[in-house]
Amino acid sequence: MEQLSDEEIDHGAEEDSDKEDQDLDKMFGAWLGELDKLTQSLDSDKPTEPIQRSPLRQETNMANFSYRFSIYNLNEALNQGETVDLDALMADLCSIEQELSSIGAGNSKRQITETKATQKLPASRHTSKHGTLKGLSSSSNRITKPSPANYSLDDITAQLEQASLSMDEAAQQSVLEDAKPSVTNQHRRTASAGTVSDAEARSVSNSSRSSIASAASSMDSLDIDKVTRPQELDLTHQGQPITEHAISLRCPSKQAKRQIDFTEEQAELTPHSYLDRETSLLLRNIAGKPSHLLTKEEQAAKLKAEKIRVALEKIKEAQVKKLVIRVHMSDDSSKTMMVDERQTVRQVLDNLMDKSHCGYSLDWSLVETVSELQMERIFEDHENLVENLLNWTRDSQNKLIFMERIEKYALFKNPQNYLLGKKETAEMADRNKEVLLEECFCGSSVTVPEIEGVLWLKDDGKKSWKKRYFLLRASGIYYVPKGKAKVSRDLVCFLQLDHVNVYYGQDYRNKYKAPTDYCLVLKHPQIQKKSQYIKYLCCDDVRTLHQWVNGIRIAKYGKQLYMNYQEALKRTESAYDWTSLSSSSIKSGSSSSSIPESQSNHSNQSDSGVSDTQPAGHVRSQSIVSSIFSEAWKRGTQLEESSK
Amino acid sequence: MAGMKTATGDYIDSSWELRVFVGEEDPEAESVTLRVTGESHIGGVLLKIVEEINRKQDWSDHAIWWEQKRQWLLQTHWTLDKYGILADARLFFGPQHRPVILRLPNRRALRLRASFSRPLFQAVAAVCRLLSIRHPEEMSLLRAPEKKEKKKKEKEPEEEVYDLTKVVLAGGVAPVSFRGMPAHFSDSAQTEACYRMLSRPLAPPDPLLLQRLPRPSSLLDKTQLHSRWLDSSRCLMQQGVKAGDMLWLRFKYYSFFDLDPKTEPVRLTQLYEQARWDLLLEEIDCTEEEMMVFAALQYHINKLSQSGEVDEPAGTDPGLDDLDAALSNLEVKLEGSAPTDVLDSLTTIPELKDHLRIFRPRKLTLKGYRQHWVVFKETTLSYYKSQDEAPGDPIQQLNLKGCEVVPDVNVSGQKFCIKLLVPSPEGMSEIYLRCQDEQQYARWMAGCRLASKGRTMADSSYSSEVQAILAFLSLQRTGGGGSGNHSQGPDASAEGLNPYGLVAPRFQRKFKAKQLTPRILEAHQNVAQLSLSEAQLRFIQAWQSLPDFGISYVVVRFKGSRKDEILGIANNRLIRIDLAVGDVVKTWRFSNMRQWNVNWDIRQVAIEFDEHINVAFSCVSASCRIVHEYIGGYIFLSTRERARGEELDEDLFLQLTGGHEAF
Repeated sequence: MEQLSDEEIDHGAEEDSDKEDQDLDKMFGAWLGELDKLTQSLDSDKPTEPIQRSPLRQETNMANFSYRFSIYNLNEALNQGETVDLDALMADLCSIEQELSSIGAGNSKRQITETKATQKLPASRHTSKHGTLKGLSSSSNRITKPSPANYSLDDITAQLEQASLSMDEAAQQSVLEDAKPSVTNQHRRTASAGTVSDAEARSVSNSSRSSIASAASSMDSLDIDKVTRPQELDLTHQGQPITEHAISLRCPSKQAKRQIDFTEEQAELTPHSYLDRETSLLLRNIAGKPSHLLTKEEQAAKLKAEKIRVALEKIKEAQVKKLVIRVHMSDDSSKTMMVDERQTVRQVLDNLMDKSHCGYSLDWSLVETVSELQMERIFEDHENLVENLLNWTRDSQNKLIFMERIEKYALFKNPQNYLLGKKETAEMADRNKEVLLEECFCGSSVTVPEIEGVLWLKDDGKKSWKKRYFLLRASGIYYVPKGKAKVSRDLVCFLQLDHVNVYYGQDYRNKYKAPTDYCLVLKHPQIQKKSQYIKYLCCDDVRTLHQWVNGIRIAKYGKQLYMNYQEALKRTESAYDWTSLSSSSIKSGSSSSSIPESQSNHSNQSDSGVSDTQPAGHVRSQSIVSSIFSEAWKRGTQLEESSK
Repeated sequence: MAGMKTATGDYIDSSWELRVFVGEEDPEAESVTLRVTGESHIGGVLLKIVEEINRKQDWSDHAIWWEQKRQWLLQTHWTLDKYGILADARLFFGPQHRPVILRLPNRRALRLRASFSRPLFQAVAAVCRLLSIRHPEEMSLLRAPEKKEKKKKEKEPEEEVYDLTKVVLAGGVAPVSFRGMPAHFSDSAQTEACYRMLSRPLAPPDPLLLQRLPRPSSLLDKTQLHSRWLDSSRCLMQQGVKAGDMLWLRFKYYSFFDLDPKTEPVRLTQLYEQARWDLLLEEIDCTEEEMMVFAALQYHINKLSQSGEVDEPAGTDPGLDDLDAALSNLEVKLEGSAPTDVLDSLTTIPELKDHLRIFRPRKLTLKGYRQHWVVFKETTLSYYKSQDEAPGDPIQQLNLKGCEVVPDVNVSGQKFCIKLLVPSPEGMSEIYLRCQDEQQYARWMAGCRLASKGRTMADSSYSSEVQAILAFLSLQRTGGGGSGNHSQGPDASAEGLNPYGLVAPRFQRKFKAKQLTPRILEAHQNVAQLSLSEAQLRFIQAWQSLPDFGISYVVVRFKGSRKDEILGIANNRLIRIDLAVGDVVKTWRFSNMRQWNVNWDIRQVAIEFDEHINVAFSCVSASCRIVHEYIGGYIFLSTRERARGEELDEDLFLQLTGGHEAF
């Protein structure tokens, strides 16, 4: 509390603001002064050392850990002199630079508007629009002049206003009616004008190591305008200038050096510790208020405060980190790219497929290899990539590989080999596969395949392996204790699957003297070194291995896995215009006709002597077939059927 | 007209006398005698009977039952000749709807009127409509098991029988909702209570009762139940059911379509109850870990159901709408006034600082708990040798995000420990925090739990979490694990946790209540946030994912085999199981099935699968009609996905499951 007000004083010109009626002009004055300072420093291309820091801000910074793996990878890339990637990054940087200058222009423009509109309330609307402009222009990745952008923003705001009651509007109205609401007004203006985020800048300059670079959380760049319209969050987060530090800091060229300075200033300008400022302003204003008002609404205020806390937590959650990752390709080359922390593996895969012109296939996968433990795992499409990569340690030798892996969706291509719990591989008609998948994944709960059998379990800390009879259930992996029967009540829980991921072990025959090379490993994703908490299992053959791995995936992810597959299928199909047309229509055709067929089979058998075509026809009429192709296909299959 | 006479009183037409008893199959019943001819229509006969009885009454539900042929004469335009009725026919003129007592899946008894004249399938559909249960095709009726005479001697408490016989449902119209329940339940306090019984999960049973109830000890015992199913294509009257008989209403086919927790509380609750009793009576086996989850869910459901919050909140939905609301609130608040401390608390990140005793289990150390100065901020726990050293570097700093939090509490022993399993690149680090009292424990525990989910103590759920933990502790004091502290009064003890009512008897034998309570409470943590219907749904889903779920067992003898075996019928497959060992011998899937035939004379079912696989067996424990109906029923149910939104295709069902009338 004390600290906060001290800080306020440092900002100058606001000491008087506790008198609520006269603070309006002063507030503007203060802000204009600051904006001037900022724009000056922007023009002079020189980093301004932040004047003061807010302790609170720094603590809430989530920048304190682990973006290092990307740096590690990038450093490696630099050492190898892979200029291709850097060129690409430079291109990105240039566009970012352009964005920044356009933002700069926007900011100075805003300054003008504000000056003009010192006391007029509509001005505040203007400023808020400019606030959002930043996000928009940077996300659209091109130079935008402020005034035309205003129009598009007007459109957007118009739409959004319907959805949410925006704070500034309400503030305007209330200002007109009431003297008190000037508080709100100020507060809002504070936010949109862009406070210096000292902690932000400090954290950047303090840590000379590039490691924190990308980490500067973009939290502070959320100004209140955006917050009032949550829908805009997406927009504004996409091209956050701060996140660009990551690249600029690591670029060895001189231009990049300049970029750093530039972006740092930008970081000062755009993000701001609105929380401290805003609340301290409030405190100041409220402090001057008659006390009876406070006590009167204390109770309600407490409730509201609780809700604000919720909001703030959510704002915090809405932080977007970006980082540069290095993806190894199957041909030993590598690509460096930037990912957003919200991106799923699926999105990154789509990106990579686009960039590498490798053709679309279901089997493209992102594989994580943990070299120290000699294990690897195919990331699931729905997983968050950044979250997983953050588990790597600073000096990790782990790699991310982009490659085709048939294991990824083999489960759905030949479900009979995985879901039926049979020992031998078999063929199955396509329609039966679909029925099987539907049965397994589309019911009210997912059926975990019954997998059981003898596996080898590695002793903790020893290179010896023991046989045990294991069973997979939806609730985890169990084993049969010695001398007991295989009944549920006597099973001992080996592991529950909530906290572990399943990995393929590599060459454990050498490393751990495993009986075979078909090993699977279960460990918490955060564990990166040898530990007693890692469980090693070894199967007799590769088929058993895949059955277990896929069974565990089903138990762990359930329906999500099937949805991933269908999504991937959709992407692959839509990638080819012509082929997709025919293949998808065949697909729908076969699915619509195959099931009724099996249907009619069943109803025929009933010995009640009713006409057998009735139920089949009944069901067939249900199937909705949209395209001509599938219509034709269907006619074909019906002909076939009748000729049988 | 029948009954033309000469002057001497001789009948000159071909008319004859027909005696009809009035009432339900009772030889003592009053009777009327009519004069009819072979050409008389049933409708005309009905009219005459009513005239003959000459009593003012609503006769619309009455029809004639032909006792010898075990048949209702429902076609009013048919003549007596067409039915083949002669003067010796024993006919009863009685109501088609008669009261029966249904034993619901939740084991409560309910008296209502069911149709005795229509096929059971339709009668069940009507009952389900009355109870507002969708998808009646999944349910059916069983005969109540024979009561053993021995049981009679034990004094059985008179049980309450709910009564719905007076409730009439308007036909055709979809039941409208009124005051949160279907309108026909809201007539009287009695029916409202009945609806509550139907739609709310009941309290856990008395553990002693649970131990007394019969439980299947082998697979063979599990086949008993399935021999009692009634035939869905024939009416109750034909199957020898009398008015006032007790029948069981159960979900017969384990394929629950389109289960919607929001709109159908009765179906969800009854399904939950059936699942619960299945587990408690060991009809289905599960592992210890699974039982704990089931127990925790039951405990949670029971708590919610008793506290009366039927289906509100629980989910503090993290959506942007909240953010919106919160910010507009912020705005409102900012205009007004707020105490400074509130604002202060907003900006400061709450933290916990205290002296706690910490124990880190390591190999080769025998050190116990040691006092440390512990600071818990954001999601990070740091501890120092003493408070003075706090500004410096901590001994250790742990980020609790993603960690496992396990309570280690013994209220009577005044032990309040938190076990943390914190993942790190090197593995899991284990650390125990020992708190002094409940209050301290609750605050730290709540913080740890939030931190493990990546949230800080600034999260709005913090204080409710603290309250929940405190509530638990008081429960443990009064509940099964407690030291007998009865000062809490009757209310608290009633709400207390008696773990024996929540687990199957074999776990009662295996564990002491003191051991069970903490395990159930531990499992409860993961489900504590669920609403009533979500928790019920979770329970049902966990039940469904048990390997043995949904298998109906029948003793059969396969063709060419000399010993009895078990046939398991599930919603997608048939399973051949060894009777003695219980191992699965072979599985056939319905999707590979080409046809099945029933030879009613030798009671044999023959099934042909793809690739010319033929299977034939005769049924031992149940009639082959039951097996046939199960197979046909599952095939029928599998067609529903494609016929979504359509009216129930009753004809198809009867075609698939019936058909033996022809013989």
